Amino acid sequence: MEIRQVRDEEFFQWRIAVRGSLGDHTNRESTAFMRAHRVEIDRLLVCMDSDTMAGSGGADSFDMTLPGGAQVPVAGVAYITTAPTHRRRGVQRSIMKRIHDDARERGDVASILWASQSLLYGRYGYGNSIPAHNWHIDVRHTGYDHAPEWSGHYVKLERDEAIPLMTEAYERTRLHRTGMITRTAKRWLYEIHPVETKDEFFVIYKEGDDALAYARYTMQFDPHDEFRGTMYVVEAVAATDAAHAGLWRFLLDQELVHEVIAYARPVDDPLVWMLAEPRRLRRTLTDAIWMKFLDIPAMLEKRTYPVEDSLVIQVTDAETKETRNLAVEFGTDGATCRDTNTAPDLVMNEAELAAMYAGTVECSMLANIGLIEVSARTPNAALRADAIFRTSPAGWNPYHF
Amino acid sequence: MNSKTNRLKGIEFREGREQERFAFLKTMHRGFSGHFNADPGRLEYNKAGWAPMSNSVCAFDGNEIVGTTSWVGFQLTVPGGKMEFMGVTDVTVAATHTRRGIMREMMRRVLVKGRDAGQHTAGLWASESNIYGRFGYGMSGEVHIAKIDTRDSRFRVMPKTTGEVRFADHVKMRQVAPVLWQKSADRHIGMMLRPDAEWDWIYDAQRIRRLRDRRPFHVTYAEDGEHLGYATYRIQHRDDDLHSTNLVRVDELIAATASAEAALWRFLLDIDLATELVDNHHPKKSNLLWLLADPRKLSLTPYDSVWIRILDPVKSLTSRTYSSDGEVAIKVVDKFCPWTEGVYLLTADEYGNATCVSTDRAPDITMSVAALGSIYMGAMQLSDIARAGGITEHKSGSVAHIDRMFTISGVHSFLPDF
Repeated sequence: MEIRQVRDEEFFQWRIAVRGSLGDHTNRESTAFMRAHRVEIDRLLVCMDSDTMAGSGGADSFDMTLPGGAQVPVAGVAYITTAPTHRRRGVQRSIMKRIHDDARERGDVASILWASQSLLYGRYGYGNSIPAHNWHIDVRHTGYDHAPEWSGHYVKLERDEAIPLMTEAYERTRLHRTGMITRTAKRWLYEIHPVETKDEFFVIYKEGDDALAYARYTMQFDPHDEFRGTMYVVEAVAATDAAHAGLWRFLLDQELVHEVIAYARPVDDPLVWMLAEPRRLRRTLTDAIWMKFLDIPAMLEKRTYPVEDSLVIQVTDAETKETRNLAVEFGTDGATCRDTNTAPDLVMNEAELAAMYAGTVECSMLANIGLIEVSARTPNAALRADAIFRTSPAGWNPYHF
Repeated sequence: MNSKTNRLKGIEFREGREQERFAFLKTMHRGFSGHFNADPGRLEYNKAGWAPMSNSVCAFDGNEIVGTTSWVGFQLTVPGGKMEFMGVTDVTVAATHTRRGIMREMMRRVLVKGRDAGQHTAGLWASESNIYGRFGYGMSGEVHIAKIDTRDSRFRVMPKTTGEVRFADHVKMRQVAPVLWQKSADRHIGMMLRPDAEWDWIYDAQRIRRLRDRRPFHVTYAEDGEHLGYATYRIQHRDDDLHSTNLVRVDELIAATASAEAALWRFLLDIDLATELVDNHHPKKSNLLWLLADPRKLSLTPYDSVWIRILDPVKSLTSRTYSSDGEVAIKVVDKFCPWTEGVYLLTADEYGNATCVSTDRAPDITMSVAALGSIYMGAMQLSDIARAGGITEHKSGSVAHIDRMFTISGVHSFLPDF
């Protein structure tokens, strides 16, 4: 079997293979739209078993925001499938390795993905860096106890008018929120698909001429009661706390809506602190973004930290099993990182380093259950790492690519 | 006379007397939509182990008790150790007398009573989450409702364990459980240290007999004869006609080490004839989540656990330790118990020990007494709370500074509810 780049002329065949492995069909029109608006053909891979497509994979190029505001290039891994006829032969492992090699060559410092199943990617060094909550809210109980004062207004627009304003609000938010990634103009047109997402509504929250927040949502009504609706919030993004309060007041106050279901909300969303009845916000944890470092020193150096400290961390590569000891000096404007022979304070697999990077899980907890080893010489190293990697607001990525 | 006073006309508030205990319990249980089971054992336990009637504040309409409130003093683990704590409890108003301000008046009186008895920090587990914020309580911790199909519960790593899980009866548990609870409390904040009378009651043979089929199972985990953990659980019998699909309900899982905890989870997840496990007091920081090979299969729903109500900021703030040294002047706003209002200068040294004094200094930050209660246990971050509004930073960076001082990493528990 051979892994190679996908050729333009076989893109439709490739897409049929990808969708087929996920139990789905496609068509020429949808494929052409995807080719034009989404994919970078030179980042798409196919695993050929003579003339059969046995597996697929690839990546989209994004910039991701790190704590402190740095933007770094990352590979948004997707399209990972193995043909049902070719399972259990190492196809996926080979494709993942090739994706990582290619991405490193391009200068990507990390790769990120949304997993179809949560047991798949730990073995390749991915850690669950950015979990999220899905929300179910009975809107009868959603009065605010208190909230930041908001003064903006709402506009509801059709797709073509909404996209530029949503882009504006998204960009204002993205640049300051750990974990958020770029979405190009073309990609906006792809995500808000003229056919596949035709049922979506768009609301923009504006203060003066500035678009500060938006939501994409759909409505579904009880088939036997046209006045009993459920709102599905696909994406709700707000650049400021006031805009967040204003946007959610809009979403929770729609006539005929009995329940609001929202996906991939931040685990530290302040709405729970605003509600007079916080327990009515039913949250369920989901794993959302898995991340693997492709360049560990770069990822450590490019974020900022709330405290100054230093640690020697031994990291094991999930694929090669090679270890390296990194001496890291953490500071409020970044870090310096160099290879060292000094004995480590903390010993971990790369997946655990990625998991604790965005402030959503503590090093001490992973150490407590044995996933991270703490040197007997520096028993408080895990607690120090908790303080070093604390991130507020914590990582979030609303973009299900 | 304002309308509020009118609404309370004819209602008398006072301490309950010992001979009124039965009436108190009857009203209290009815308030939670239940019936008081007036068996002698239960009444005796209530006398011996729970709040003395002199701690109660009752509302009377004539001779009838129409509102109940009380408090229990116990030790609670907080960052840096344990402290005296005022557990507010038994808060009910009879369905015939709601919406008149009875609860507000009882709450005010019981907090004054606690303060006068020297209590500096009060708290409770709320029956509903919309009640206590207005009285200055802040949501101070969260736990999870955890559910999993046990057939999806393979671990990705199994910590090396050399011990054994064994069934235990109530006699054995009476010996083993309090010791393990104490060991666990040494590592967890938010744990109530149960008095002996409570342990006696939990493992009381007569009480357990009365539970019949609802009585729990107990197992212990020991390595080389040393007990390191226990679990208490019940089985709810179910089937889909062809197969048993029993539900395992975890009441308590207490472990002194992470490997003991893993071994007990493995035991609970592997019980035959069961297909689902539910733990309604699962820690916010779930070790189980990170043990699972397929973590998405564990459903975790967070909800509020302990609500904290600061009664005396100086004593309260010096009863815990802090994660970093520093100094901050906090202005506290408290409409319900105005005696806590003021500006407090909190100073922590490099070991986390603190002093606190009332000060004339200009405050660095202004927050409600509820917000101060929310961050007290170290489990909630002020930066998250501040994004919901209502907090004024006079000196830039104070929120982040308080995050560093107050937030405690590592293990929280918030067990049990009381």
